[in-house]
Amino acid sequence: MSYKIEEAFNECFERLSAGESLDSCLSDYPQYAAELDLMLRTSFDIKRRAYPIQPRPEFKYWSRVRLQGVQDYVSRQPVQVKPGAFNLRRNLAISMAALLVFVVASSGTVAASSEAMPDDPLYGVKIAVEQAQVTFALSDVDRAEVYAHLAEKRAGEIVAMARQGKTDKVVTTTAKMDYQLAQAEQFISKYEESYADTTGGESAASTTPSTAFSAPAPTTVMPPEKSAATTVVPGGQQGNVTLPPRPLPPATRSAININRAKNTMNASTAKSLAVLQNALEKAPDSAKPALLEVIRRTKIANERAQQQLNLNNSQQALPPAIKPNIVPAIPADKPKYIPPRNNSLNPSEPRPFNKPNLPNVLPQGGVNNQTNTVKNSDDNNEADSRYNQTQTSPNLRLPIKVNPVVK
Amino acid sequence: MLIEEQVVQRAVNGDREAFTYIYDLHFDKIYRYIYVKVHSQAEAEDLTQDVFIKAYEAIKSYKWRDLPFTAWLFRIAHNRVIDHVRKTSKEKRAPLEEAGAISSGDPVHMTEQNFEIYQLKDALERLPDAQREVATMRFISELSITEVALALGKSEGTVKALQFNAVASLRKLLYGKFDVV
Repeated sequence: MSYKIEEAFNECFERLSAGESLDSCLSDYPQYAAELDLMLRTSFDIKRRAYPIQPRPEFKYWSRVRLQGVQDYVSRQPVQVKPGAFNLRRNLAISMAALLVFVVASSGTVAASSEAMPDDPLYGVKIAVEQAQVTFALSDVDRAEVYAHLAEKRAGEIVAMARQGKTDKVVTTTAKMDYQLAQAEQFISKYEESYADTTGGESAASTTPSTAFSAPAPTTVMPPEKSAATTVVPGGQQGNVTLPPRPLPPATRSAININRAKNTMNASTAKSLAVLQNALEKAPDSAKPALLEVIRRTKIANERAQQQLNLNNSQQALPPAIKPNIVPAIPADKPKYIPPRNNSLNPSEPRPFNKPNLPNVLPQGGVNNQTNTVKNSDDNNEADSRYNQTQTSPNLRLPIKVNPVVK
Repeated sequence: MLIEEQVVQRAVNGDREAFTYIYDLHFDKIYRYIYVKVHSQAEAEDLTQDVFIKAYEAIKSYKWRDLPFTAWLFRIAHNRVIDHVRKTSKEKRAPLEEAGAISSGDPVHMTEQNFEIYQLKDALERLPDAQREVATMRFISELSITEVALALGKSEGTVKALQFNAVASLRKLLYGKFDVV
């Protein structure tokens, strides 16, 4: 029975959407008429409420322009071949591209095109050289940085075009800038994802350069037997002694790379924004709407870059106690004998005699105790429980009737 | 359907005009679908753009026989929203923004519209995931039962059941406090 009313509801909804009247549909299902009536009115009320949700016309226009820009740009991109163990075609393409770049560079065209503007005949050469830069970038994170710099260049070109009142060039260059910013973000995300895969899902930002230098377990920050760097400071000076840096593990290098790319992205978008905002006053009136839209978009990109960076930094902001690389100097009044390293973390084992009074730097609850509360899940649970309550409430009355609005 | 299939095939073969036609056809639906799932207009706009750029990048590998185009496009939108929510859940989420309906000129009418949209978004947020997904695709983006079923990878019977339950729940959430008879 339950299955049938669902079927009946769906059929009536389709029929009403096609223009049939409510009564004619309900008359086909007299056994469900009362319930179907309410349910159908609700469903059309939902449609009515959602109807005014429409994209802003200017956004729709700009989005289309951007898509066309992407189409232009992608159609000029070299075909990417998936890397294999030995890929002759790819190697050949790289060699040819290198040769081409060399020949073109030697002819001086590249130098001449470096300052080319979108309305310049040499602009195509400039774009080709930029594409070569992207192709030759060694990693995704390098590619992201290249794209961020290119987007900054586009901002400069937009300003130049806006000053000359060439609105069409502003629009096409904006599309290019948008694409390059999106690519930069995408390559950072891609690098982060590949990084997370290799570290078993650990967030890239959570492994930071600062933690990389930290000792594996703070309670073991005891000087090794024959380490020159950890001998007692002569005269027991007050201050800190820095342990020599250890070689960075690959995970840390990845985290540094991501941070660097995010910083570049943030700096590039901030610079672009400043340049565009300065140009707004001097631009002719005809170019101002286009320029305002570019500023709006760059602002969003900058805010996003800022958020990413802040997120990164907030995850890096670990309690100072877990940065035990700085070992306090042993005070002058303490004995100068340094006991052998106690590698055991077992607290029940006896500690060596005359141990220097080093602080226990292990934070309460461990290093990774900072959890990001996902507000949504709690909300959902609460909402589900509320929902269940309403469903089981014996006093539930039928709701008011709402006039359906059929388009 | 046949015409749409032909247009999509042209787009798959690299016809830019065909893709622009597809874009015009689905843009508003995708925007509405995303808008009710995120917290601000700016987020919805960014994600809508991303969906079409991703679709453009991936369309060469699209095959109609595997999945109708609308269902394929909404799968991209669905995945993009999930990625976005996963990313932003790490940050402190902003409260629901005042809804941004298209301007009708009359401020009173606009306020009423915005409030109704706000209520709708709030009610949808309280639904279980599967019901919310079906209700959004069916009543807000106006997809057919078949398209919803294919986009979500569920049977049509399941989608109909979810649709019915979603409407029942939304009725209680939207009018529960004011039910008269």
